[in-house]
Amino acid sequence: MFFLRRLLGMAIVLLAMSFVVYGLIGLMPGDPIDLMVMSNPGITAADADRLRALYSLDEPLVTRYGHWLIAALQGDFGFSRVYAQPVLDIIGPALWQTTKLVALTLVISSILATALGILSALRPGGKIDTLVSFISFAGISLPSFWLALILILTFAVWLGWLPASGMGRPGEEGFLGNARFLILPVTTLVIANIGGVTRYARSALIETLRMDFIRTARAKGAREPRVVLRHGVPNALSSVITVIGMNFGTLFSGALITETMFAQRGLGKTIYDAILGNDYNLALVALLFATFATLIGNLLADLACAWLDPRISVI
Amino acid sequence: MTALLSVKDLTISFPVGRVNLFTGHRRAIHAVQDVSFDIASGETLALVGESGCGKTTAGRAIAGLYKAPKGAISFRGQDILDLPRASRRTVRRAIQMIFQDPFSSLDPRMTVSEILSDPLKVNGIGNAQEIRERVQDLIGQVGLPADTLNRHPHEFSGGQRQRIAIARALAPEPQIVVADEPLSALDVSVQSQVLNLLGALKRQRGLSYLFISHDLAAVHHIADRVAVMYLGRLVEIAGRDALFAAPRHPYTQGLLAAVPRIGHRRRRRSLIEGDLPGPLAIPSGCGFHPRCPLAKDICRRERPELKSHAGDRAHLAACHFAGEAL
Repeated sequence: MFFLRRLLGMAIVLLAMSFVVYGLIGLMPGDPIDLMVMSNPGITAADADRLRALYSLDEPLVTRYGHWLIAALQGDFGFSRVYAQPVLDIIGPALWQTTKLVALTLVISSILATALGILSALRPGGKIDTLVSFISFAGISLPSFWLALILILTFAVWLGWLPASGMGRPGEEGFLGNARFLILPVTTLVIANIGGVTRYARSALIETLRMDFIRTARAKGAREPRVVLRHGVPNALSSVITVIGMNFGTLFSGALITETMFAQRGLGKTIYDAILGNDYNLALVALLFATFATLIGNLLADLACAWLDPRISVI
Repeated sequence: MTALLSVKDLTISFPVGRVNLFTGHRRAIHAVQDVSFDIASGETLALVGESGCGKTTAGRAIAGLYKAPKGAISFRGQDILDLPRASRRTVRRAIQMIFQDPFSSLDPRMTVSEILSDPLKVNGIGNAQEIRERVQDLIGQVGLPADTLNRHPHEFSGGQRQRIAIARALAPEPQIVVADEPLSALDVSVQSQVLNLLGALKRQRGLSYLFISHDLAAVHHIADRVAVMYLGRLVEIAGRDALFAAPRHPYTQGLLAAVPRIGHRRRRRSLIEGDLPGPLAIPSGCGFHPRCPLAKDICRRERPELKSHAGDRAHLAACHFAGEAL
């Protein structure tokens, strides 16, 4: 029941988002025909009007949205204006590239951040805590374009260990060869991401370790590592997971700078280019995929919390 | 009667505030100071006093929850605080604790069965089969049905949870149970059930309790002896009947006079006035003198010793005037 309700809710959010995004893009000044006219002075005003009628661009926004929705529900998301290809053919590879980046980033940063958070929560205000806090805030504060440049300079230019940017050619260097291209962008994203999650893990665990059942565990004679790892961490983890779930969505569309710096054709870059190029269909569908990723991230986080905490029921 | 547990000059301090720039030290508050008492096998000692008097801190120290209290806590003649860590753990198994709030003292992620078997596992008692039997046994002893075991704490009421907490404390077969206000988070109607359960378990198992409470009616019901704390120190300790019938310390007298009674008009104004002084500003001499109706000059200058006055040798009070007729 819970699960079905959540899926229904997600469908409704996606529908609402599609309308909002369609509306926002439609309200942007200029339309694709204006761009065509600019790039080709041979097109007359009459031609432009004819083209507008052909693409239904002269109809009201809501009517156009209706047309789009009916087609979309039948699986037809239209063509990209810039690439002259079906939208899904463009988004597919971008989505896959971003998924690789985001999944690696989330796994690595979650594990590291939880470990660092635990270490610093054991002795708040201690030496390790101070060091971890410094690293966290450094990670949060460093602008990712600067970090990306420094990483490229160090590992690609000076040391020559890793490619500076790009995604590799599929099938040419093998899976591992292409994976080398992911190392620097993932490192950049991990450093930018780890601070926030570490701070959350730290404060959640400090709070949990003050609770009575921790005292109970100590009173019954459990050793400190067991107290922390069996009673403390699992109870602290649910709020950390919620934060990670939100990061999931943010990373999907928000890794624009990192994707640009490392020439990764990911979802963020695709959205950005599509909006600049007035590529309605592409921008719209890419944004909806980003929304979908956010929703999925939250759903996964909620399921994980329910699994961790018996007080939260899924059924 | 030899003491099962003997507490001698127990002092527990907590650092507060900032580090002093010149000395590198922080100020300390003494939550518990020079507290000494014995508990015999099968005996219930009640520790009473206002909030903040240090009774919970003393109980936690006995259950081994603080790293380095000063003084001595001996179990069967062996000082626990002097033992190396490894053997301290085996002794500590014999001293278990029940906490005040059953809504927060049970790990929400564990089933009741896990809650009850974990103390056995961490202390290395029994194999899987024995643990299962012991857990079945325990849940029956605290009067809960066996199907309780597969459920989680949040599915139970306060009284049921406190029963689970009691079963958990009993799991490693302790000889002493420190019960820290085990009734105060429960509904009045449930309090007497839990109190009776504690009494029955004590008789069946020959348990000793350190029963920390401010509920004098419950104390009168369950305790063999009563110790009264004020501002971190013991001010009076005596057998239950002697203490309730003839309290020697004016603070104890005030506490007893403050108990409301059905059918009696209040005989006189409350004996104790004013608020408890903060632990950072403990008064000189007798800590109670600012609120004491009998305070004289000597009370401001000298701290009275805890000693017996006239007659009953087991009745100790820390008051300059405890020997006088009141």
